Amino acid sequence: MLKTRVIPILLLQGNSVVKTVGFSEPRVVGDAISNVNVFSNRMADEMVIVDIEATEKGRINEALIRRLARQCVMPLTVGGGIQTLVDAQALFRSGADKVVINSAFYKDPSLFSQVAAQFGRQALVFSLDAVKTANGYQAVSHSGNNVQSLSAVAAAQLAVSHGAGEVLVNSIDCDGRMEGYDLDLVEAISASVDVPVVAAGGCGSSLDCVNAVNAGASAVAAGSIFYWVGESIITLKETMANNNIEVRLI
Amino acid sequence: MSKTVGLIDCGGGNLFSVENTLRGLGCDVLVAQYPEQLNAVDKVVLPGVGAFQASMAMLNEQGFSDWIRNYAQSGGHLLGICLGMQLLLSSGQEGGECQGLGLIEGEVTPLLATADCRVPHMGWNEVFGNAMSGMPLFKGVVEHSTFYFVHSYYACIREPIDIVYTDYSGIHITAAYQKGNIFGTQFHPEKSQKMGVQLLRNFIACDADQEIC
Repeated sequence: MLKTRVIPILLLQGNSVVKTVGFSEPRVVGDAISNVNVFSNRMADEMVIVDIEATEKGRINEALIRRLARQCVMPLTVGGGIQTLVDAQALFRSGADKVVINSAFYKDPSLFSQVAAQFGRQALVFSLDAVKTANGYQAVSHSGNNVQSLSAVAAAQLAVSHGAGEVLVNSIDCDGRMEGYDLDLVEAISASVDVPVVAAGGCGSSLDCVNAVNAGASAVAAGSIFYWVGESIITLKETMANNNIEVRLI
Repeated sequence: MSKTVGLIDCGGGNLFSVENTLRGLGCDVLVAQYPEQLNAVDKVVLPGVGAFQASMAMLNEQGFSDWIRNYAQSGGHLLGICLGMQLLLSSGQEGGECQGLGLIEGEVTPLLATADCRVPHMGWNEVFGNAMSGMPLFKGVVEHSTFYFVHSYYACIREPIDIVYTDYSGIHITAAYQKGNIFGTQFHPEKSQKMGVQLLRNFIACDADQEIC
Protein backbone atom coordinates (compact mmCIF):
# COMPACT_ATOMS: atom_id res chain seq x y z
CA MET A 1 0.00 0.00 0.00
CA LEU A 2 1.27 3.43 -0.95
CA LYS A 3 2.23 5.54 2.05
CA THR A 4 1.03 9.09 2.47
CA ARG A 5 4.04 11.35 2.25
CA VAL A 6 5.02 14.04 4.76
CA ILE A 7 7.18 16.62 3.04
CA PRO A 8 9.09 19.49 4.63
CA ILE A 9 9.25 22.61 2.49
CA LEU A 10 12.35 24.74 2.88
CA LEU A 11 12.31 28.29 1.58
CA LEU A 12 15.75 29.61 0.75
CA GLN A 13 16.95 33.16 0.85
CA GLY A 14 20.63 33.05 0.03
CA ASN A 15 22.07 30.19 2.09
CA SER A 16 19.48 30.58 4.82
CA VAL A 17 16.19 28.83 5.37
CA VAL A 18 13.38 31.29 6.01
CA LYS A 19 9.71 31.10 6.91
CA THR A 20 7.05 33.46 5.63
CA VAL A 21 3.55 34.47 6.65
CA GLY A 22 1.16 35.11 3.76
CA PHE A 23 4.20 34.85 1.47
CA SER A 24 5.88 37.84 3.14
CA GLU A 25 7.87 38.72 6.27
CA PRO A 26 10.59 36.11 5.75
CA ARG A 27 12.26 35.16 9.04
CA VAL A 28 15.51 33.23 9.10
CA VAL A 29 15.14 29.84 10.79
CA GLY A 30 18.46 28.21 10.03
CA ASP A 31 21.17 27.21 7.66
CA ALA A 32 20.22 25.30 4.52
CA ILE A 33 22.74 22.47 4.76
CA SER A 34 22.03 21.68 8.40
CA ASN A 35 18.27 21.79 7.77
CA VAL A 36 18.52 19.28 4.96
CA ASN A 37 20.65 17.04 7.15
CA VAL A 38 18.16 17.09 9.98
CA PHE A 39 15.18 16.28 7.76
CA SER A 40 17.16 13.60 5.97
CA ASN A 41 18.03 11.94 9.29
CA ARG A 42 14.47 12.19 10.57
CA MET A 43 13.29 10.28 7.53
CA ALA A 44 11.21 12.84 5.74
CA ASP A 45 9.59 11.16 2.75
CA GLU A 46 10.72 13.84 0.33
CA MET A 47 11.97 17.38 0.49
CA VAL A 48 10.97 20.51 -1.38
CA ILE A 49 13.38 23.43 -1.60
CA VAL A 50 12.31 26.73 -3.10
CA ASP A 51 14.55 29.74 -3.61
CA ILE A 52 12.12 32.59 -2.99
CA GLU A 53 14.39 35.27 -4.45
CA ALA A 54 15.40 33.42 -7.58
CA THR A 55 12.69 34.76 -9.91
CA GLU A 56 13.28 38.32 -8.78
CA LYS A 57 17.05 38.05 -9.03
CA GLY A 58 17.01 35.97 -12.20
CA ARG A 59 19.39 33.33 -10.96
CA ILE A 60 19.43 29.75 -9.82
CA ASN A 61 21.98 28.79 -7.23
CA GLU A 62 23.22 25.54 -8.76
CA ALA A 63 26.21 25.24 -6.46
CA LEU A 64 24.05 25.34 -3.33
CA ILE A 65 21.52 22.90 -4.76
CA ARG A 66 24.36 20.51 -5.56
CA ARG A 67 25.60 20.70 -1.97
CA LEU A 68 22.11 20.11 -0.62
CA ALA A 69 21.45 17.22 -3.00
CA ARG A 70 24.58 15.48 -1.71
CA GLN A 71 23.03 15.31 1.78
CA CYS A 72 19.75 13.99 0.57
CA VAL A 73 19.13 10.23 0.10
CA MET A 74 15.49 10.96 -0.63
CA PRO A 75 13.64 12.62 -3.45
CA LEU A 76 14.45 16.28 -3.80
CA THR A 77 12.19 18.79 -5.52
CA VAL A 78 13.71 22.15 -6.35
CA GLY A 79 12.08 25.36 -7.48
CA GLY A 80 12.45 29.09 -7.77
CA GLY A 81 13.47 31.07 -10.81
CA ILE A 82 12.87 28.45 -13.47
CA GLN A 83 11.98 30.29 -16.67
CA THR A 84 13.18 27.96 -19.40
CA LEU A 85 13.96 24.33 -20.21
CA VAL A 86 17.65 25.19 -19.81
CA ASP A 87 17.02 26.36 -16.23
CA ALA A 88 15.25 23.09 -15.48
CA GLN A 89 18.08 21.10 -17.05
CA ALA A 90 20.57 22.90 -14.82
CA LEU A 91 18.62 21.92 -11.71
CA PHE A 92 18.29 18.27 -12.76
CA ARG A 93 22.02 18.23 -13.42
CA SER A 94 22.60 19.65 -9.95
CA GLY A 95 20.71 16.81 -8.30
CA ALA A 96 17.03 17.73 -8.41
CA ASP A 97 14.69 14.79 -8.95
CA LYS A 98 11.78 17.04 -9.71
CA VAL A 99 11.42 20.70 -10.47
CA VAL A 100 8.58 22.81 -9.18
CA ILE A 101 7.41 25.72 -11.33
CA ASN A 102 4.93 28.50 -10.68
CA SER A 103 5.30 31.90 -12.41
CA ALA A 104 6.81 30.73 -15.70
CA PHE A 105 3.87 28.43 -16.34
CA TYR A 106 1.43 31.34 -16.72
CA LYS A 107 3.73 33.11 -19.14
CA ASP A 108 4.18 30.04 -21.34
CA PRO A 109 2.43 26.77 -20.52
CA SER A 110 4.38 25.03 -23.31
CA LEU A 111 7.39 25.12 -20.96
CA PHE A 112 5.63 22.25 -19.14
CA SER A 113 5.32 20.17 -22.30
CA GLN A 114 9.03 20.67 -22.96
CA VAL A 115 10.13 19.69 -19.45
CA ALA A 116 7.77 16.68 -19.38
CA ALA A 117 8.93 15.47 -22.79
CA GLN A 118 12.56 15.48 -21.75
CA PHE A 119 12.40 14.45 -18.10
CA GLY A 120 9.01 12.77 -17.82
CA ARG A 121 5.91 14.17 -16.18
CA GLN A 122 6.82 12.57 -12.85
CA ALA A 123 9.68 15.09 -12.66
CA LEU A 124 7.47 18.15 -13.06
CA VAL A 125 5.51 19.64 -10.17
CA PHE A 126 3.10 22.51 -10.68
CA SER A 127 3.24 24.92 -7.78
CA LEU A 128 -0.28 26.25 -7.59
CA ASP A 129 -0.48 29.29 -5.35
CA ALA A 130 -4.07 30.22 -4.72
CA VAL A 131 -5.90 33.05 -3.03
CA LYS A 132 -9.54 33.15 -1.95
CA THR A 133 -11.59 35.87 -3.64
CA ALA A 134 -15.27 36.78 -3.83
CA ASN A 135 -15.38 34.69 -7.03
CA GLY A 136 -13.71 31.61 -5.57
CA TYR A 137 -10.09 30.50 -5.58
CA GLN A 138 -7.87 32.29 -8.07
CA ALA A 139 -4.40 31.24 -9.22
CA VAL A 140 -1.60 33.62 -8.25
CA SER A 141 1.98 33.96 -9.46
CA HIS A 142 5.18 35.83 -8.60
CA SER A 143 5.24 34.96 -4.89
CA GLY A 144 1.62 35.90 -4.50
CA ASN A 145 1.88 39.28 -6.20
CA ASN A 146 0.07 38.68 -9.50
CA VAL A 147 -3.48 37.38 -9.47
CA GLN A 148 -4.06 35.41 -12.68
CA SER A 149 -7.24 35.34 -14.73
CA LEU A 150 -7.47 31.55 -14.23
CA SER A 151 -9.31 29.97 -11.36
CA ALA A 152 -7.16 27.66 -9.23
CA VAL A 153 -9.00 24.61 -10.58
CA ALA A 154 -8.59 25.73 -14.19
CA ALA A 155 -4.88 26.39 -13.62
CA ALA A 156 -4.39 22.92 -12.11
CA GLN A 157 -6.15 21.23 -15.00
CA LEU A 158 -4.26 23.26 -17.59
CA ALA A 159 -0.94 22.44 -15.94
CA VAL A 160 -1.71 18.72 -15.84
CA SER A 161 -2.83 18.74 -19.46
CA HIS A 162 0.55 20.30 -20.34
CA GLY A 163 2.47 17.60 -18.50
CA ALA A 164 2.60 18.31 -14.77
CA GLY A 165 2.79 15.04 -12.84
CA GLU A 166 1.92 16.48 -9.46
CA VAL A 167 0.27 19.61 -8.04
CA LEU A 168 1.58 21.34 -4.93
CA VAL A 169 -1.34 23.48 -3.85
CA ASN A 170 -0.47 26.30 -1.53
CA SER A 171 -2.97 28.65 0.08
CA ILE A 172 -1.56 32.15 0.41
CA ASP A 173 -4.29 33.02 2.92
CA CYS A 174 -3.18 30.18 5.19
CA ASP A 175 0.60 30.30 4.61
CA GLY A 176 2.54 30.47 7.86
CA ARG A 177 -0.57 31.01 10.01
CA MET A 178 -0.58 27.48 11.37
CA GLU A 179 -4.36 27.41 11.59
CA GLY A 180 -4.83 24.47 9.27
CA TYR A 181 -4.79 23.87 5.52
CA ASP A 182 -7.49 25.40 3.36
CA LEU A 183 -9.47 22.18 3.11
CA ASP A 184 -11.98 23.45 0.56
CA LEU A 185 -9.10 24.37 -1.73
CA VAL A 186 -7.39 21.00 -1.21
CA GLU A 187 -10.64 19.20 -1.92
CA ALA A 188 -11.42 21.24 -5.03
CA ILE A 189 -8.00 20.68 -6.56
CA SER A 190 -7.80 16.98 -5.62
CA ALA A 191 -11.18 16.37 -7.24
CA SER A 192 -10.23 18.16 -10.44
CA VAL A 193 -7.04 16.29 -11.44
CA ASP A 194 -5.91 12.65 -11.37
CA VAL A 195 -2.26 13.27 -10.52
CA PRO A 196 -1.08 13.36 -6.89
CA VAL A 197 -1.93 16.57 -5.03
CA VAL A 198 0.25 17.84 -2.19
CA ALA A 199 -1.40 20.13 0.36
CA ALA A 200 0.69 23.07 1.56
CA GLY A 201 0.12 26.24 3.55
CA GLY A 202 -1.23 26.40 7.07
CA CYS A 203 -0.26 23.18 8.80
CA GLY A 204 -0.25 23.91 12.54
CA SER A 205 -1.00 20.58 14.14
CA SER A 206 -0.75 16.91 13.32
CA LEU A 207 -4.53 16.74 12.97
CA ASP A 208 -4.33 19.28 10.15
CA CYS A 209 -2.42 16.65 8.18
CA VAL A 210 -5.15 14.10 8.83
CA ASN A 211 -7.79 16.57 7.64
CA ALA A 212 -5.87 17.38 4.45
CA VAL A 213 -5.57 13.70 3.56
CA ASN A 214 -9.26 13.18 4.24
CA ALA A 215 -9.96 16.12 1.92
CA GLY A 216 -8.17 14.26 -0.87
CA ALA A 217 -4.48 15.18 -0.60
CA SER A 218 -1.98 12.47 -1.58
CA ALA A 219 0.71 14.08 0.53
CA VAL A 220 1.10 16.89 3.04
CA ALA A 221 3.78 19.54 3.06
CA ALA A 222 4.66 21.78 5.97
CA GLY A 223 7.23 24.29 7.12
CA SER A 224 6.40 26.36 10.18
CA ILE A 225 5.24 23.42 12.27
CA PHE A 226 8.76 21.98 12.31
CA TYR A 227 10.26 25.27 13.52
CA TRP A 228 7.83 26.86 15.94
CA VAL A 229 5.91 24.19 17.83
CA GLY A 230 8.26 21.28 18.27
CA GLU A 231 6.37 18.82 16.11
CA SER A 232 8.48 16.56 13.94
CA ILE A 233 7.98 14.35 10.92
CA ILE A 234 7.67 11.45 13.33
CA THR A 235 5.02 13.00 15.59
CA LEU A 236 2.94 14.02 12.57
CA LYS A 237 3.12 10.50 11.18
CA GLU A 238 2.15 8.94 14.50
CA THR A 239 -1.04 10.97 14.59
CA MET A 240 -1.75 10.13 10.95
CA ALA A 241 -1.22 6.42 11.64
CA ASN A 242 -3.56 6.62 14.63
CA ASN A 243 -6.17 8.02 12.27
CA ASN A 244 -5.87 5.10 9.86
CA ILE A 245 -3.67 6.81 7.32
CA GLU A 246 -0.90 4.65 5.89
CA VAL A 247 2.43 6.32 6.56
CA ARG A 248 6.03 5.16 6.57
CA LEU A 249 6.95 4.68 10.21
CA ILE A 250 10.44 3.87 11.33
CA MET B 1 39.76 -3.02 -4.04
CA SER B 2 37.09 -0.59 -5.04
CA LYS B 3 34.83 -1.54 -7.89
CA THR B 4 34.22 0.53 -10.96
CA VAL B 5 30.61 1.05 -11.91
CA GLY B 6 29.67 2.28 -15.35
CA LEU B 7 26.70 4.62 -15.32
CA ILE B 8 25.00 4.96 -18.68
CA ASP B 9 24.01 8.52 -19.50
CA CYS B 10 21.25 8.51 -22.07
CA GLY B 11 20.45 12.17 -21.63
CA GLY B 12 17.26 11.94 -19.61
CA GLY B 13 17.66 12.71 -16.05
CA ASN B 14 19.22 12.86 -12.77
CA LEU B 15 22.38 10.75 -12.66
CA PHE B 16 23.57 12.82 -9.75
CA SER B 17 21.94 10.84 -6.96
CA VAL B 18 22.86 7.43 -8.33
CA GLU B 19 26.43 8.56 -8.79
CA ASN B 20 26.51 10.20 -5.37
CA THR B 21 25.19 7.09 -3.61
CA LEU B 22 27.55 4.72 -5.44
CA ARG B 23 30.52 6.92 -4.58
CA GLY B 24 29.33 6.92 -0.99
CA LEU B 25 29.64 3.12 -1.11
CA GLY B 26 33.28 3.45 -2.14
CA CYS B 27 32.84 2.76 -5.86
CA ASP B 28 34.59 4.50 -8.69
CA VAL B 29 31.88 5.72 -11.01
CA LEU B 30 32.35 6.20 -14.71
CA VAL B 31 29.58 8.18 -16.36
CA ALA B 32 29.51 7.08 -19.98
CA GLN B 33 28.04 8.83 -23.00
CA TYR B 34 29.55 6.20 -25.32
CA PRO B 35 30.02 2.44 -24.92
CA GLU B 36 33.78 2.67 -25.55
CA GLN B 37 34.05 4.38 -22.16
CA LEU B 38 32.77 1.24 -20.44
CA ASN B 39 35.50 -1.22 -21.31
CA ALA B 40 37.03 -1.50 -17.87
CA VAL B 41 34.00 -1.58 -15.57
CA ASP B 42 32.93 -4.24 -13.05
CA LYS B 43 29.23 -3.41 -13.06
CA VAL B 44 26.86 -1.38 -15.17
CA VAL B 45 23.86 0.67 -14.04
CA LEU B 46 21.26 1.84 -16.52
CA PRO B 47 19.30 4.55 -14.75
CA GLY B 48 16.49 6.28 -16.49
CA VAL B 49 14.21 9.20 -16.28
CA GLY B 50 12.12 10.29 -19.21
CA ALA B 51 10.09 8.44 -21.77
CA PHE B 52 10.67 4.91 -23.10
CA GLN B 53 10.76 5.77 -26.78
CA ALA B 54 13.02 8.81 -26.40
CA SER B 55 15.46 6.85 -24.22
CA MET B 56 15.57 3.90 -26.63
CA ALA B 57 16.31 6.32 -29.46
CA MET B 58 19.22 7.73 -27.45
CA LEU B 59 20.55 4.27 -26.57
CA ASN B 60 20.42 3.23 -30.23
CA GLU B 61 21.98 6.45 -31.44
CA GLN B 62 24.84 6.32 -28.94
CA GLY B 63 25.50 2.67 -29.72
CA PHE B 64 24.55 1.45 -26.25
CA SER B 65 21.80 -0.98 -27.27
CA ASP B 66 24.05 -3.62 -28.80
CA TRP B 67 26.69 -3.00 -26.18
CA ILE B 68 24.26 -3.58 -23.29
CA ARG B 69 22.88 -6.78 -24.90
CA ASN B 70 26.40 -8.17 -25.42
CA TYR B 71 27.47 -7.17 -21.94
CA ALA B 72 24.46 -8.82 -20.29
CA GLN B 73 24.58 -11.92 -22.46
CA SER B 74 28.24 -12.45 -21.65
CA GLY B 75 27.43 -12.43 -17.92
CA GLY B 76 28.13 -8.82 -16.94
CA HIS B 77 26.18 -7.53 -13.95
CA LEU B 78 23.60 -5.05 -15.07
CA LEU B 79 21.12 -3.08 -12.92
CA GLY B 80 18.28 -1.14 -14.53
CA ILE B 81 16.63 1.48 -12.34
CA CYS B 82 13.11 2.81 -12.96
CA LEU B 83 12.86 3.47 -16.70
CA GLY B 84 16.18 1.62 -16.99
CA MET B 85 14.55 -1.59 -15.73
CA GLN B 86 11.71 -1.10 -18.19
CA LEU B 87 14.04 -0.58 -21.14
CA LEU B 88 15.42 -4.11 -20.65
CA LEU B 89 12.02 -5.58 -21.61
CA SER B 90 10.81 -6.52 -25.09
CA SER B 91 8.71 -3.46 -25.75
CA GLY B 92 7.11 -0.32 -24.35
CA GLN B 93 4.27 2.03 -25.19
CA GLU B 94 5.37 5.34 -23.67
CA GLY B 95 5.75 7.84 -26.49
CA GLY B 96 4.45 5.25 -29.00
CA GLU B 97 4.89 1.48 -29.46
CA CYS B 98 8.61 0.80 -29.34
CA GLN B 99 11.05 -2.12 -29.15
CA GLY B 100 13.06 -2.40 -25.94
CA LEU B 101 16.42 -4.05 -25.38
CA GLY B 102 14.71 -7.46 -25.24
CA LEU B 103 16.75 -8.98 -22.41
CA ILE B 104 13.59 -9.73 -20.41
CA GLU B 105 10.43 -11.01 -22.06
CA GLY B 106 7.54 -8.69 -21.39
CA GLU B 107 5.89 -5.38 -22.09
CA VAL B 108 5.76 -2.01 -20.41
CA THR B 109 2.19 -0.74 -20.18
CA PRO B 110 0.53 2.37 -18.75
CA LEU B 111 -0.97 2.57 -15.29
CA LEU B 112 -4.52 3.76 -15.76
CA ALA B 113 -5.64 6.51 -13.43
CA THR B 114 -8.79 5.98 -11.37
CA ALA B 115 -10.24 7.76 -8.37
CA ASP B 116 -8.14 5.63 -5.99
CA CYS B 117 -5.16 5.29 -8.23
CA ARG B 118 -3.57 8.56 -9.14
CA VAL B 119 -0.90 8.41 -11.79
CA PRO B 120 2.08 8.73 -11.50
CA HIS B 121 2.37 6.14 -8.73
CA MET B 122 4.48 8.39 -6.54
CA GLY B 123 5.85 7.78 -3.09
CA TRP B 124 6.98 5.08 -0.68
CA ASN B 125 5.50 1.65 -1.07
CA GLU B 126 6.12 -1.79 0.41
CA VAL B 127 7.70 -4.63 -1.54
CA PHE B 128 6.89 -8.32 -1.14
CA GLY B 129 7.13 -11.66 -2.90
CA ASN B 130 8.19 -15.26 -2.34
CA ALA B 131 11.31 -14.78 -4.41
CA MET B 132 12.60 -11.93 -2.28
CA SER B 133 14.38 -13.92 0.41
CA GLY B 134 16.51 -15.75 -2.14
CA MET B 135 17.54 -12.73 -4.20
CA PRO B 136 21.04 -11.34 -3.62
CA LEU B 137 19.76 -7.82 -4.24
CA PHE B 138 17.52 -8.05 -1.16
CA LYS B 139 20.05 -9.52 1.24
CA GLY B 140 19.43 -7.81 4.59
CA VAL B 141 16.22 -6.22 3.34
CA VAL B 142 13.13 -7.57 5.08
CA GLU B 143 9.86 -8.14 3.28
CA HIS B 144 7.52 -5.11 3.43
CA SER B 145 10.39 -2.66 3.55
CA THR B 146 9.45 0.53 1.74
CA PHE B 147 11.12 2.02 -1.32
CA TYR B 148 10.50 5.18 -3.31
CA PHE B 149 8.53 4.76 -6.53
CA VAL B 150 7.70 7.29 -9.18
CA HIS B 151 6.37 6.02 -12.49
CA SER B 152 3.37 6.04 -14.82
CA TYR B 153 4.12 2.79 -16.69
CA TYR B 154 4.90 -0.65 -15.33
CA ALA B 155 6.59 -3.84 -16.41
CA CYS B 156 4.48 -6.93 -17.21
CA ILE B 157 6.96 -9.78 -17.32
CA ARG B 158 6.18 -12.87 -19.41
CA GLU B 159 8.86 -15.30 -18.34
CA PRO B 160 9.44 -17.20 -15.10
CA ILE B 161 12.10 -15.13 -13.39
CA ASP B 162 12.39 -13.92 -9.80
CA ILE B 163 10.00 -11.04 -9.24
CA VAL B 164 9.26 -8.81 -6.26
CA TYR B 165 6.01 -6.87 -6.24
CA THR B 166 4.40 -3.81 -4.80
CA ASP B 167 0.67 -3.16 -4.45
CA TYR B 168 -0.86 0.03 -5.76
CA SER B 169 -4.62 0.19 -5.28
CA GLY B 170 -4.90 -3.55 -5.75
CA ILE B 171 -2.65 -3.73 -8.81
CA HIS B 172 0.42 -5.89 -8.32
CA ILE B 173 3.25 -4.02 -9.94
CA THR B 174 6.69 -5.47 -10.65
CA ALA B 175 8.91 -3.71 -8.12
CA ALA B 176 12.12 -5.62 -8.90
CA TYR B 177 13.33 -8.59 -10.89
CA GLN B 178 16.36 -10.77 -11.37
CA LYS B 179 17.26 -12.96 -14.31
CA GLY B 180 20.71 -14.35 -13.60
CA ASN B 181 23.10 -11.45 -13.91
CA ILE B 182 20.39 -8.99 -14.97
CA PHE B 183 18.69 -6.97 -12.22
CA GLY B 184 15.98 -4.35 -12.31
CA THR B 185 14.17 -2.15 -9.82
CA GLN B 186 11.12 -0.04 -10.60
CA PHE B 187 11.77 1.96 -7.44
CA HIS B 188 14.73 4.26 -6.93
CA PRO B 189 17.20 2.66 -4.50
CA GLU B 190 19.32 5.81 -4.62
CA LYS B 191 16.36 7.74 -3.16
CA SER B 192 15.22 5.11 -0.70
CA GLN B 193 17.34 5.95 2.32
CA LYS B 194 18.82 3.07 4.33
CA MET B 195 17.22 0.11 2.54
CA GLY B 196 17.96 1.58 -0.87
CA VAL B 197 21.59 2.02 -0.02
CA GLN B 198 21.66 -1.58 1.24
CA LEU B 199 20.26 -2.79 -2.08
CA LEU B 200 22.91 -0.92 -4.06
CA ARG B 201 25.56 -2.28 -1.71
CA ASN B 202 24.27 -5.78 -2.46
CA PHE B 203 24.46 -5.16 -6.19
CA ILE B 204 28.04 -3.96 -5.88
CA ALA B 205 28.97 -6.92 -3.68
CA CYS B 206 27.78 -9.61 -6.13
CA ASP B 207 30.95 -11.21 -7.41
CA ALA B 208 31.26 -11.00 -11.17
CA ASP B 209 32.99 -14.38 -11.45
CA GLN B 210 30.44 -16.13 -9.33
CA GLU B 211 27.35 -17.91 -10.56
CA ILE B 212 24.55 -16.04 -8.82
CA CYS B 213 21.27 -17.60 -9.80
